[in-house]
Amino acid sequence: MVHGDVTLRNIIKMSNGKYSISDFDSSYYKLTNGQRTYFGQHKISSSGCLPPSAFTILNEEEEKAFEIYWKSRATDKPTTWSSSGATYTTRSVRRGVKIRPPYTRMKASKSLDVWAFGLILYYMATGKHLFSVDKDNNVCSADVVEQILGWDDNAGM
Amino acid sequence: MHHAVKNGASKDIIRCLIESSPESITVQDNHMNAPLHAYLKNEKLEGSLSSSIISMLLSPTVASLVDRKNRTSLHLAVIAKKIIRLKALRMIIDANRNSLLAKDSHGRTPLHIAFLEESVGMDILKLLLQDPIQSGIHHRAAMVEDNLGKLPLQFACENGISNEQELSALIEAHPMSIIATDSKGRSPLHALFINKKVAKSVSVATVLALLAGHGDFDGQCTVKMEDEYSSLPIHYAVKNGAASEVIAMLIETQPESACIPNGDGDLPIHLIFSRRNEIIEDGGEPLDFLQMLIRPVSLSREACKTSGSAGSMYPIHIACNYFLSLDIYENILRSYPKCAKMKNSEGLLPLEVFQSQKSNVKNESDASIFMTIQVEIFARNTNIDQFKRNDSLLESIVSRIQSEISNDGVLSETSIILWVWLCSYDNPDDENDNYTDTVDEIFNSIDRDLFNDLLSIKDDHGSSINDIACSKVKTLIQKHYYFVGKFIFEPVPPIHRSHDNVIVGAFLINLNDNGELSSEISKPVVIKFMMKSDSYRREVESRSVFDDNLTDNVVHILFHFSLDGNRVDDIRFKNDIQDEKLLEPLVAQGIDLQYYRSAIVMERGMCDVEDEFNHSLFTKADTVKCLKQVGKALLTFHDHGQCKFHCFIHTKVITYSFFKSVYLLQIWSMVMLH
Repeated sequence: MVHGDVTLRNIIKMSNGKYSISDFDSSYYKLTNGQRTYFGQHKISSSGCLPPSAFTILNEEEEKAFEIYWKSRATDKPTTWSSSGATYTTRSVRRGVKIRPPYTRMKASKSLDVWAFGLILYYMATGKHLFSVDKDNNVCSADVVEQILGWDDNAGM
Repeated sequence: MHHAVKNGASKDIIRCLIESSPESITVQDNHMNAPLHAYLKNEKLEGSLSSSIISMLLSPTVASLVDRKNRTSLHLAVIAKKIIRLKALRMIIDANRNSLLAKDSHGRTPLHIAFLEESVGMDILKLLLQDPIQSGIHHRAAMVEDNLGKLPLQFACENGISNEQELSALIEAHPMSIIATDSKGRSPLHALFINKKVAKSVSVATVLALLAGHGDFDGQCTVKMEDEYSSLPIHYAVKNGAASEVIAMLIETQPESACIPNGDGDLPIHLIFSRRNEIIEDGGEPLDFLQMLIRPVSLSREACKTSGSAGSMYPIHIACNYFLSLDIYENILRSYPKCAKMKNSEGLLPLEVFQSQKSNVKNESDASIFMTIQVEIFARNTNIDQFKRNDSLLESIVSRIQSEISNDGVLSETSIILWVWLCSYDNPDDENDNYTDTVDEIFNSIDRDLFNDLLSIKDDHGSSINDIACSKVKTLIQKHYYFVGKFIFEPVPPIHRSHDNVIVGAFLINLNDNGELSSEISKPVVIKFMMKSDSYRREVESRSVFDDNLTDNVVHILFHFSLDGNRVDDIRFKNDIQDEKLLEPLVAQGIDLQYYRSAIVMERGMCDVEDEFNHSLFTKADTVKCLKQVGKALLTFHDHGQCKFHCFIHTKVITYSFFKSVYLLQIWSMVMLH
């Protein structure tokens, strides 16, 4: 099972002094019918805790396809970030539709939690967010998405 | 001459005597009787008085002479009304018309006298009612009071020998006499019932004549007129045994008259018992008679508070001494609920008195009415040891509440009192002395939908059942009232609100394993209300993956509810959220539960880590502790989910293997912090 939304807000200090994880409404677990579980197929966790692989860039054509893909489910449509011509979004998917999104779907995995945990670690060690987020722990500009997408072995060195 | 008239001399002899001494007819003997007086008083006479003798003895002077008792010959003629001819009477009147107004030593006019002993008859009455002077002032005999302030009408009523026609004639002659009172403040209507012998034979027609009055004077007000002893006509009527139709008429005219106590503090109903034996002898229908008198009383609080001159005989006691119709008991108890706690002179409470009526229960319908009456009385005084554990009484209370709430959705006044009592009764000295079982029986026998109706009932101070219930019943309510009733919501804004969920703080009222209210302080919880059923499903199902032993580092769900579910809790949630009162604190925060279709209840933590960290409460050790525990928990999730994922994303900073070694992590954190 993957929690999918490991953030500081979701770690609660209980009265017995233990730290407990809460808020499982973004969690992924295997369905009994063996259906594959994709990232973003239900409630989208806060975008500030997502790993680079959860983001994608959309070209103009893809953007149109993106709009069509989410047309009838406007409320569930993932956030998009745009700057100087480039548009970014998360690789969320819709359930129960035959058409495919204009990006590769991403299987949900524990890597999501691992990345998020790393972000917490960084914050606790430095007192700063590795990537700047708003108060709801969401990424708020395309620049930040570019930073995340640009993360590689050399980053931070 | 005196001897002659007294001893029956013939008219020739009398004429002879008069001729020899004409003035002898005006001579008065030592009793002040003129010969005419002597003749009219003649007791030895057989047959009727001779008109010719009268005419011989009569002169205007004679007609103005009075005897020792100040009576004119007209007075005496009226006394002899049975044996005098109308013609003779007319002659006497015409000889001195002023004698119509003459007063004897009691101040009575001939008209007064006419109503003594025997019925006067209309013919004589008409003569006596003439105007003394043909024209001029209207001063008639009907307007003259005797020394006791009684007008002829009063006098006639008191002596009770007149029929309604005669009374009507008197009223017509002096309409105001209908409301005139004598020196004791009594109206003619009082007078009708003053004498025991007269009162019994008063006819409806007579009363009608008095009530009807004449012209501007309406007799109806006299029904409520008090004499100097503060007694109304009805008091005398009841006391002196007037016919029940007559009393019925008085009550019908002024129902309040049955509710007014006399100077001794007796209501008319109390006065029945001064002649109780007679009623029973009557063999008529004493119950109807009683009901007639007590029905107006039952509607008056003041009257229901009147205990009678003998003391401690409240209307409720009287009612309980008989098996009357239900509405009387209901009304008395409604007018003066406290009467159920009053003891009679034998020290018995109404409910105890009523037990004597068991013998009057003849059939099933009687039995059910008998029980209903008992319940009505009991409701107003539940503190009688003898009855408060009476099984059949309790059974009847239960079925009454059940049927009222099921059929009408509301409880009657009595049932509300009983329901409040059942829920709130608590004996501090005996923890088993309460009605939890009875309340449970009611809960279990009614429709779930009605549950809220029963709980929304308020006592007479406006407190809800939840507030007044004894602790055991409260627990019982919690058990039945599963969701909302279990929590006390915090009157502060929600902890968190997003577009599809709201998290509010609340306290869980503690229940132990037996479902009883525990003495511990209520447990703080958070309740997350969700719009999306998918979120709800994930919250619940994901946690079901690990049981308690697996990890402590998860905020566990204590309860969960969904409007789309069919578990017992879900069904309760459905019912509970319809209770506006309970949801008030939520509604106040703009949380409409018809949109938030599901909720989970979790233990409330002290704070989240972001807050704790940002408020500099975090030490190095805390950081390590926190990360270790979170890491451990995540590991447990990842290992125990039903889903075996492939590590699809190549995370570039922290590898899974690194993450797995929590000890390394600890060292790493320490290094970073230094």
